[in-house]
Amino acid sequence: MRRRDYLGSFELMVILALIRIGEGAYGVPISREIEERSGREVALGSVYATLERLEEKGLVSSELGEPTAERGGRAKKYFRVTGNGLREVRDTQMILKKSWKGIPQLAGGKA
Amino acid sequence: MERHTTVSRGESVRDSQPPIIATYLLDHFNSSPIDESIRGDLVEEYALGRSSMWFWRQVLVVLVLSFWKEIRTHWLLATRAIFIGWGVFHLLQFVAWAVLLRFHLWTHVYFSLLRFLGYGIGIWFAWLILWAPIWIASGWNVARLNGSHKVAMVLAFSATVLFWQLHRMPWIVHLFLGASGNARYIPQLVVEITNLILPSIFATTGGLLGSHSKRDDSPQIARIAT
Repeated sequence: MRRRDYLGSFELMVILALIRIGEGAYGVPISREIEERSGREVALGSVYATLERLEEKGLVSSELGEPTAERGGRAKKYFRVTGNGLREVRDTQMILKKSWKGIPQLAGGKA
Repeated sequence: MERHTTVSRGESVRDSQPPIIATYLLDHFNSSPIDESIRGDLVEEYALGRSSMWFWRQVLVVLVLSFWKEIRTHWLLATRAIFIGWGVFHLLQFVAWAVLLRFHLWTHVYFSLLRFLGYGIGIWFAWLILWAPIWIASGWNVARLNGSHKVAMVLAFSATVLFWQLHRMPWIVHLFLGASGNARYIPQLVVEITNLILPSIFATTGGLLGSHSKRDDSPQIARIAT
């Protein structure tokens, strides 16, 4: 069997946010999307560290935009999910679904 | 794109600048290339109404993560930087003592300070003016010899300096316990705490002086202006 790294939960949240946002995804909307879904404050530094790691794995690609005045002259870095990234998410979804099945303690949404 | 517009919708853009010290730390104490984009995001979010506390929290996370990443990726360089820093420190310490003792300079400086500042503060200040340049020079050398990784390397060296100074902790705890019942201990406690943190601050300051890490934003600003 081929050795592979599974997506961590935060990595999965970041990729799902990227897929949901689609075009024009950069740090701010990505972190806001995760915050809205999880209900917790997200550190932009953690989001970027995760995106960098995902990019190294070839699951995400990025390109630099133009610098703008309202950002203090800094350019936005746009991210999007690659084909490999989409495949990885589907695989993870499948594995999680299989793992979820047949656990009575998790049925009905009660702890 | 829809999400992009949602972020801006219904939120007034604030005109004020983000916290100056946090921005300074972000500009001078990170080394990851991606941090330029993070800084832009932080400025944008702050303008949209995030609090100063939020900005500070975010900056601290960015600094810790970028430092940790640099050290993990370049641990050999970090080891070398620590050896260089301590090597320079011990060399300069040796030279300084040799010169000061040879020409009896230290005796003059020491007793002059005692006469002007009093016994307690005088001794503390005398040691400060002796050690400060040595720590600064050590940090300066670490920065000069570490090229594009200088920020992380200087911080790694400063961290070891702080760690070494922790040998003062039992005495500080003893003074702290004494100070709670007797105010006479407080000046000594203050002196010991400053002695604990000042060497690493001096080393870091030297690193900042020795680095040309000041980001040149002028090309980008010029592009925006046009």
